This record gives sequence, structure tokens and C-alpha cells, in this order.
Amino acid sequence: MRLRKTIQRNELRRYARSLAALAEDIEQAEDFATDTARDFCSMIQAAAELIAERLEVAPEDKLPWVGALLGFFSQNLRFPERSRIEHIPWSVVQAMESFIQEHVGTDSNFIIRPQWRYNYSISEDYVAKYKELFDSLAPWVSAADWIARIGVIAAKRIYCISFPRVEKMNILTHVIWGHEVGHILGGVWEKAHFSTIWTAEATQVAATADATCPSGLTAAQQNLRKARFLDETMTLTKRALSELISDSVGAHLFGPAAVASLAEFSCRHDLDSSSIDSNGYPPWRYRLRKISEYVPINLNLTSRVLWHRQLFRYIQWTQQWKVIINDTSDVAVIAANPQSAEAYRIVDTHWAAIWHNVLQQLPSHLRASYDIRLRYRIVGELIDRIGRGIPPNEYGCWPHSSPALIPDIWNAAWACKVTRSTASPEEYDENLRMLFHLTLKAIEASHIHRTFGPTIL
Amino acid sequence: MSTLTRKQIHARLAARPRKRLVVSPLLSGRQIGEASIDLWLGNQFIVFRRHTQALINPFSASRVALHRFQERRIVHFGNKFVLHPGALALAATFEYLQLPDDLEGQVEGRSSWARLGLQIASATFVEPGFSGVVTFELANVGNMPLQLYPGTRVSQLILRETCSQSDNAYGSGPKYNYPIGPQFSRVASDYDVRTFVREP
Repeated sequence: MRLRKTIQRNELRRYARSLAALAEDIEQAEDFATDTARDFCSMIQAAAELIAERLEVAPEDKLPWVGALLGFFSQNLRFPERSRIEHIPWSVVQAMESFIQEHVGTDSNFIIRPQWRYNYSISEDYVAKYKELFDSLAPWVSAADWIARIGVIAAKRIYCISFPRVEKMNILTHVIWGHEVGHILGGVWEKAHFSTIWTAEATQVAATADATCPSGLTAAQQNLRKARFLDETMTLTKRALSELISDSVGAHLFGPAAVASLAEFSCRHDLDSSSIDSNGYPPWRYRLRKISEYVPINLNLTSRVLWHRQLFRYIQWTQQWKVIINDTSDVAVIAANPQSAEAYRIVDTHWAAIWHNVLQQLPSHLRASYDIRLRYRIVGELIDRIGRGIPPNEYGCWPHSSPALIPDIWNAAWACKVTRSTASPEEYDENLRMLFHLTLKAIEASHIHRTFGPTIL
Repeated sequence: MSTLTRKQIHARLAARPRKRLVVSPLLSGRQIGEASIDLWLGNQFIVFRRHTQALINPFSASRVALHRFQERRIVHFGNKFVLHPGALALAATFEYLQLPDDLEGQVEGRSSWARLGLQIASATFVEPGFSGVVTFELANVGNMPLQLYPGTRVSQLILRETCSQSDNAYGSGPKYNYPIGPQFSRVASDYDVRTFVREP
């Protein structure tokens, strides 16, 4: 056994040193969109070096855990490695990071990387996660030791946002990044408030569990079933809230563009899949109904007269989804399962208070949702630019032009996408290719304009 | 055909859409000179990977083949791009241009940079109706490596009115329409290539 432990310790040390060297190699790449990928490599390098140095004094029973940790760090290297500019829509990453930081704090940093799965996702904050992992190793090595090595990076939050690899250039679907940012706010809300809601509702959920309990079970079986019922309902409630908060944050940030991107994405899925069968995700029809509540636009004669024709048709297009959300098939699916029925009863009961609490996390000047009724002139102007083959990066005529905001750019681009009639599939593809190019250029150019313009004038 | 002066450039930048010259973003009025507009160096470059190919045969250059000996590099604003003596790189203006049908343009290097050895190739005629960033060739003909930064004003756009409005302005299916970064050469797609070049 002694021989085996010696080999294990030596191999772990070698593994840790190789990992540190690999992290350093990746960090040296010059083609990242921001410095966040390098920071992440530095974190992993410091973690691996620290473990390699202290491994001699690590207790034997901790060695398997050290091996698992090193494996976790190694897998994490794929995030910065795949975030090199050749794999991502690099020109918008700095602009997006700045935009998101305004909403969730300047300490938040992002790695944007592709994934093969056709989905968007966001990771947890890796700096906090690593601190937690090092705490689990104490006392032979601690989070304080690791923090001392990474310096200012320790004060940051680092998230990884993944997008479907095949959609690299599809900048319009990347509006869903707004939803992913919502998961950050949703996570903070859950930690602070979910237990209060659950405590208030647990008795009612337990009563429902009792009421739906089949006859003929022993007392022990009844208790076990009730515990499972409570656990499953809590999981479904958390998952539903996480997705619905995120959808609503997306709509808060980007208005109709968030509805458009989510609606388009939903076309790949069954509208009424039960949460039980889809990993806890709410039915798409329910999500579309919820997100539509946060983009309430009543088109009237004034908008028909004053708004750009394509903008008017775009809003009409987003309202066509009412036909789908007025159908309540999803409600029947939710009600068919007692756990999901309870979960969505809790969501519906507390939603207004939950959303109010989520908004409180934002700086006060950003708590008003994006309202296209206040932006119609600018968005209309940007639509015109796209129509003339010019990126929608600014509005107004030189020398009085101003950089456009990302939500305005995205809404103008979506308006162009959904209102263009095309003669053939080839023309459709070519029009979209041009639209993606102009939008990518616009987001970058408006960011540079905003960043450097004031210093040059 | 006459070169536009500062006053005419100002008028064209603010003209109604069909006659408007678009240079976007144009961050400072000081970029407009007596008869030209200074343009920023963009942040994308196409550089040559000389070690991968024995020679360039532009006529058999499929997209894949081109990417074997040229690659795109991004240099963020604030970071430097070093152009070594004898090196050639493709770059582009950061500003997106759109010329009306009665204006043509020429992108040239600024003499301040030429005196340091930077040559901007002269093949940068901008046709009436063009939309996009303008690709140009950077060559260091000096003896010392040159440090360049995205955003520096390395080139200038000189504009002239055409004798008449162009009948078939650039927008009708050209090789390099709506580019947002420097473009690889597409000489292999010239309409007359197959007349003289027998390549598989």
C-alpha cells in the first residue's frame, strides 16, 4: 500500500505541474477577445502550482480528492482555450462585457465560448467556486494561499457563457446572452429569498402531497412519498424561477428582441413539454406567455403613423405569438402532475414580489425596462441604415451623430430580419449574412465610438 | 472631375441619403483636412504564413488554400501590431464607408507615416456606390520594425466627383461587397481568369 501511495503522490505532483504549464501556454496566446481568459488561465496555473508545492504534506486520505480537483481544473481549461477569437464573434465581446457589467457590476467578467450542444448556458462564478474548493482542502493548503497568488483576480467574478458553435456569426440569436445574464441575477435572488418563499409554502405543498397520496401505503411509505414530493416540487420551483427570471431579465434588457430570439429558439422544441420530461425547464408556451408580459406594447394609430414601417411590422410580428400564448395547452400539462402544479402555483403566487426583488439588484437608473415606444425614432433610423447597407452603429447626421445602444441595434436588426420578404432560400441566406455582418460591425463600432469618442473630440 | 474640398466634404457628409457620403464612425472633425479625410487603421490584419507554402498561385487559390498561407489576426485597441522590414500585411479602415453613385475615392497613406517607411499600396481605388471598410496593403519599406496601433490615422480618403452618375454602382454583386474587415484576395474569381489560366 505504501508503494501505491508514493506513486499516487508523485503522479499527482507531475499532473499538477503539467497542468500549470499547460495553463501558462494557453495564457500566452495573444488572440483572446478580452483579458478574462488570461485571468482564468492564471487562476488555474496558480491552483495547480500551489497543489504541486504542498502535496508533500497533504494527508493520504485527501489524495483522491486532490486528483478529482486537478481533473476539474483541467476540464475548466477548455473554456479559455475555446474562447480564442477564431472561435467566437470576437468583435462584440468587449462591448457585451461592458454592457453586462453596467447591470451586474464591474467586477463581473465573462468568457464567451462555443459549445457543440445547440444551447446557450452560463457557468457559476469560478473565482468563488475555486475559493470554496480550496477551503475544502484546509489546513494543508487554503483559499488564502491561492488568493495571495492570484492577486487582483480574486476580487473578480468570472463566468463562462456558452453559445451553439454553429451560430458563431448569428449575432441576432445571441440576444439570448441577456437571458444568461439573468441567471446571475436569478442566482443572487435564489440565495437571498428562495428559502423564505419555500418556508411559507411548504405546509401547503405537504398538504397537497397528502391529498394526492394513493391509498394502501404504510405510514413509512407515506412519509417517504411526502419527502420525495416536497423535494421534487422544490427542484421544479427553483428551476422554473431560474428560467423565468432569466427570460424576464432578457426582456428587461432588450425588449422585443428578447421575445423574438426566444420565440425563434422555441421553434426547435415542443411548446408543451412537461417540466418533468424536460429536465425541469418550464413549457415553452408558458415561457413565451411570461416574457410577453414584460414587453407590453399596444400598437395604435400614433405608432402606425409615426413609427418606421418595418418597426411597426416587427412589433406586429412579435404580437402574432399571442395566438400561441392564448392557447392554454401548457396549463393542462402543468396541472396533470401534482408536483409541477404546486411548483407553478408558487411561481404564479409570488411572481410580482420576486420580480420586484430581482430588479432591486440593478442600479436604480437601470430598473426601467427597455421600452421601444421611447426609442422608436432611433430604432427607425437604424433600420434605415441597415436598409441602405450601412451598419446601425450610430444615429443622427454627422457632426451630430451619437453611438447607438446595443438594445437599439439588436431591435433594428431583428426588425429587418422578420420583415424582409425574400424571393428564394438563397436570397434569404444572403440577406441574413449581410445583416449579421452589419450588426457585428455596428456593435463593435458603437462601443469604440463610446469608449474613445469623448477623448478625441 | 474635381477633388472635394473640406467644405464640400462637410456638405456631402450631411447631404440627403442618396447624395450622402457615409464615413462611420467619424469621431472628430479634425479628421477632415483641406481635401481629404483621415481614416483609422482597423484592428484586423491578414498576415502571411510564409513557412507553409513554397509559392502563391493566386489562380488556384481556393478559400481553403488561401487560409493556408494567410491568416487573420486581431489586435485590440490599445495593443500594437509590429510590421517588420519587408513584411506585407493586409489591413482595413476602421470606418465603414459608403460612397454615393457620383463620388469615387482613393485611399492613400499619410506622408507622416511614409517618412517612417510605411507604404500603403495604391490599389485602393474606391468605386462609386461602394459600401464597406476599405482593405489596403501595408508594407514596411524601411529598415526598422514599425509599431502600429489600431485607431491611428495611417491613411486618408481623397474624394472626387464623377463626370456623371454611375449606371451600375458597386452594389450589384461585386466581389467584395459589404466587407467589415480586410478581405483575402479573390483574384481567382475574376471573370476572365479561365481564358488564360489553365489550372485544375
